[in-house]
Amino acid sequence: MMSAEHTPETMISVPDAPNSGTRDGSASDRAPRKRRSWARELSLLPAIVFVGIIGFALSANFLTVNNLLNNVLVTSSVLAVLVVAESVILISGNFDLSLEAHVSLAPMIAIWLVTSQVGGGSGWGWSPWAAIIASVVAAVAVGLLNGLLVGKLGLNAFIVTLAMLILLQGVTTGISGGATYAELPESFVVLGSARFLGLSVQVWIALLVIAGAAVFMTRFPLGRKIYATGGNIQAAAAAGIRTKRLTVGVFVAGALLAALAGFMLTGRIASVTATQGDGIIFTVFAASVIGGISLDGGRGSIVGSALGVLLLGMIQNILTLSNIPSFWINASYGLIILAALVLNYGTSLRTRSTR
Amino acid sequence: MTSPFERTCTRKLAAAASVGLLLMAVASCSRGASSKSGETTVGYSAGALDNPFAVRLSKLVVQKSRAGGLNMLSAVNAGGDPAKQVSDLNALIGRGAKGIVLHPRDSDAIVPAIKAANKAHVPVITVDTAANGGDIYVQIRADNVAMGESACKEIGRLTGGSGTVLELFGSLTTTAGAERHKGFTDCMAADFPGVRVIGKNTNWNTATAADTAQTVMSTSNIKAVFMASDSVMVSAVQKVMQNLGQWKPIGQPGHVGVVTIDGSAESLDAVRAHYVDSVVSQPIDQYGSLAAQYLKQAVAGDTLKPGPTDHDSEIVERNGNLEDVLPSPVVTITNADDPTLWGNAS
Repeated sequence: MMSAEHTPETMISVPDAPNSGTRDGSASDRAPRKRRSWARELSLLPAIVFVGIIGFALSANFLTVNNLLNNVLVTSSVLAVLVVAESVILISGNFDLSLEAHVSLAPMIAIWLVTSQVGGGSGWGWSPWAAIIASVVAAVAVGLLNGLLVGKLGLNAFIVTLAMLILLQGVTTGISGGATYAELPESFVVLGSARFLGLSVQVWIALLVIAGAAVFMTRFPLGRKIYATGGNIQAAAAAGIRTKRLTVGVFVAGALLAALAGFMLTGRIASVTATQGDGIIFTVFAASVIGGISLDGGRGSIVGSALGVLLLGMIQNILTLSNIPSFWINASYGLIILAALVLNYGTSLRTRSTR
Repeated sequence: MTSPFERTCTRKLAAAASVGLLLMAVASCSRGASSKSGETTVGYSAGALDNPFAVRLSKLVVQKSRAGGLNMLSAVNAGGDPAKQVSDLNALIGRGAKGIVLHPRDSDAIVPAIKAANKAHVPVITVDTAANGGDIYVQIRADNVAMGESACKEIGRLTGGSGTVLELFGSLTTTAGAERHKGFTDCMAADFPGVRVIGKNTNWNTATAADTAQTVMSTSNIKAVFMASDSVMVSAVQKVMQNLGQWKPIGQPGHVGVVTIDGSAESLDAVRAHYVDSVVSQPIDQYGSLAAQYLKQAVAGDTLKPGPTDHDSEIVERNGNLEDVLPSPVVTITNADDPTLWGNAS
């Protein structure tokens, strides 16, 4: 197995390849297995079509280019970046609840460094870019700490990151005193209005993060080592993978992406609130799991979880466009997710039976 | 993207885990607030201190009561748990409070606590949210239904009684959210039946407000927007409207009417800049000073009588208790600089 680093091809079959239901794939049956893995990866497509038809039936405004590009994708971008972050951590066999806290903490630290004392800030008058860099450094430090506690000390990731979530939310509330900052420098809000090729930069960032992570996880040796570690950490360690260092790495990467998501959200709402992103971690897990990421680690794909985000984004959009009475919106949300999951189960059964 | 059921869940987790720390904090606070001789001990119980409004309210009541010569203990925070607020109240009575100001989390769940205070002959005053039972010295509140009606009249004036309006309302499980929504929609249906109202729940969540405004305003021709809370929504919705090219000064072609409730500093700035048409301002500062004033009267044994007050309101009797229902002024460009508006303070 020491040769794994030099011949990444073989890594696909060891010990747990991306999306492979089979664990005994060898080079000879690579082609058909690959096709199956694509089918698995895109197994949410029927559910997405199903929800699309519901949307078409409920609102004439749903199936328009404007709505799909500017509403569904834009309002899903923050979630997509968080889901990619959480997916990589889940695939590595870990768990990070504290990602949610970065969504408010990173912008809060930055705006606090910039704002005068009268405006509720530190009064240190940092330049916006220095403040943003400082907040990103803080996020990296938190990711490092999480990674060390979980990876090196072997503490339970659920408890460590839950405690970290409470701690970071407390710090955010402490810094801000519950206040909302609405006077932001231009560099804080540029992510909310800038466009490129007719599409919001939020969407481009999300697409770049998804594509980058997908390629990294499937085509790069390090990505495959993350799968291997999540699939069976002892086997991975025995195979010479530095699992502890890798765990620290995924936590740091996750924190970085979550901080990015925080600045994206701040750009969109043109303010920094102590509660922004509160509760989003549940939606993050929902999208990841719906998208086929295993909570046990080692299985699932970035493309799959991105489709999970798309599905949830479409449902939210349809519910906003429709005339369903507000009192019933949440019930409808849950019902459509359940229906999509059942449909997805049916499709993946068929995929499995063709094997 | 977040749904409301998710938010409460994390809150509860976090609350459960922090209860221990909180108790320690409360305990250490109480040691610091040892009674000065001669001053009557009183208390303040907050339903939750998780938003700028509640934080400001608690600070004001504590500060004004201390300035008025009362030994006000540090505010006690129930962290959003109605059951904890009941035990908080009993704890305050146990610590010798002779009068208590309450900011109830739940109008019904707080009733047993008020009855316990009644038994101990400790007068109780509520602010902002009224309680639905027990003997209360006076309930200080603003009329949220009337705020919704004021917003409706402004929307009717701006639209001329036709077109489509987006209503971004707050969580319907809070009195403010439900009553503002009711006041607005009932009045719209009765007075402006020609206006089509698209009502959407934001759950008092800034990101949800942005997502909803983006989706609705890019797909429907919206003539005016009503936000049930500008302190939660106005920056986010402004950004969305700017991106959609619908944030235009009053009087310019393409101007979309904007009416909000609360009266935060940002909303008043937007009124002065000619973008927001009308703001219904909450009387938070009055809550603070009146709570302190009534608390002093209550511990001194004075009784209140129904009738007009010296601050443009009237004390009325409702369900066997007295209520001081404060008016909420409508702010437009003509009175946006009024220094008595809380958004203009500090």
